Amino acid sequence: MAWQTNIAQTSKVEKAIELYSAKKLDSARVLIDDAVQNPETNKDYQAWMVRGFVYKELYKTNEAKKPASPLRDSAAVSLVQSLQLDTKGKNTQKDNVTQSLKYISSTYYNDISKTLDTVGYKQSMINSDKHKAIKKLIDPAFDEKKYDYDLYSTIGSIFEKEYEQKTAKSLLDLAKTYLLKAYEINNNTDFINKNLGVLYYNQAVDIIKKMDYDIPLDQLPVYQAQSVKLGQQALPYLQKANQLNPSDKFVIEGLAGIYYLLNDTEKYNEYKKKFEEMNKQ
Amino acid sequence: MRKVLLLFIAFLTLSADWVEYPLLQQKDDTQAKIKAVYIYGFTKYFEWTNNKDGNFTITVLGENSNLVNELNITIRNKMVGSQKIEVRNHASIADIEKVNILYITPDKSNLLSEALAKFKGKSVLIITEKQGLAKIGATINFIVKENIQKFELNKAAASKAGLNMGAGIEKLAVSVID
Repeated sequence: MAWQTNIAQTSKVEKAIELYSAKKLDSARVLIDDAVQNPETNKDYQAWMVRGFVYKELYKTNEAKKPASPLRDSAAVSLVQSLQLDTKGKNTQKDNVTQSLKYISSTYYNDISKTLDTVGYKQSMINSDKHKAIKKLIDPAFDEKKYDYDLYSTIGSIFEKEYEQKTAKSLLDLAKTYLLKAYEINNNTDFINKNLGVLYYNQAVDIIKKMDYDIPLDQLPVYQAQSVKLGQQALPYLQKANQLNPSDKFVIEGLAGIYYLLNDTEKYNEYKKKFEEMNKQ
Repeated sequence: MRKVLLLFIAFLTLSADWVEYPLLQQKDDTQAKIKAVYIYGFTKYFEWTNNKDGNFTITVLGENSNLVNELNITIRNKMVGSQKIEVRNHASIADIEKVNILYITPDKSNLLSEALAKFKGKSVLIITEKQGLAKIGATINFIVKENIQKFELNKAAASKAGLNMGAGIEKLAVSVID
């Protein structure tokens, strides 16, 4: 009886291939789902490959515009499973499997940017994780650290920008969280140092800007101390950004701003002069 | 000082779609606001024994348009006693006729002696911003201590000027000259 079942399951895979070729995707799906659930064929790289192809086409037909697509996830999982089960490299269609995975990977990638804002960033991160998982499998040169740095620094800068417009603490916290995550991966870029420096600097300025004009005078040094502390936190980041890219006049202007905030007239004048000279060029 | 929001382009090699573009944003002059809050705050700690006719006048001697603007925001809808507050800006002492608070910018510090002579006993609170000026007659002199804007107080100068000091001002000063 066991061999009869085995034949039956193999037939299901073959029948699914026929239905897939005839573009009868829903029927192919039923058969191939059944086949990969069955112990006789659930270790068969070909069954998983067919399932991957079927789900990829279903995704293209039904969910291509959805950033969160279960059909695409099933296609990706199936194709990865197929590659991993083909331990002896017998699959003559391995290139097709890889090509399909590259296609799916590119759709995850494109969908990252579709939802990359302060509302949809979590979906972007989900798609990013899936994109990354495939890239790690099919691209030996894939640089995971750089990828994570790029993603975190971008998300952080998006929250930073939104914070500047809405000044909500939750936005500030998220900006800081993601920029610092990126900083932990690579603290040697002018981008991350500029953004962190500006984040702290802007906070420092906002404390004074939002301060009530009627506050008791004994409170004024307290506000100033809070502002100065943030300015001092901003300083090393902008100094590093300046060191990495001395020709960046935005950093020079930012440094002048920090020194002004810190009441360091000598340094303020030095950077103000530099900035004005750069503007003349 | 203008505050610049430096949001720079993310150098994502993966896609231009992810990029955040630079945004340049101009903001307020923080030091001007701090000084404006101090200057208005002093109206609550001093009593002008005379000089009570007309508007209560705060004059900035020298160039500091940001401070003038901040003062104008600060004093909006505010009074000193029954006097309406107004802010003026002059380049020379000769141009000043009536004043209650005179703030002398650092670059006009050399005019302190002239101001002291002109407004002696006329209930004018003179505020300066240069090291040593409290010792030579300014009632208030702004100084920076540990990156923070604070002030020195010259009690004798206040008395000579015809100003009564309220309780608490001495505690706020970083140093007091008797």
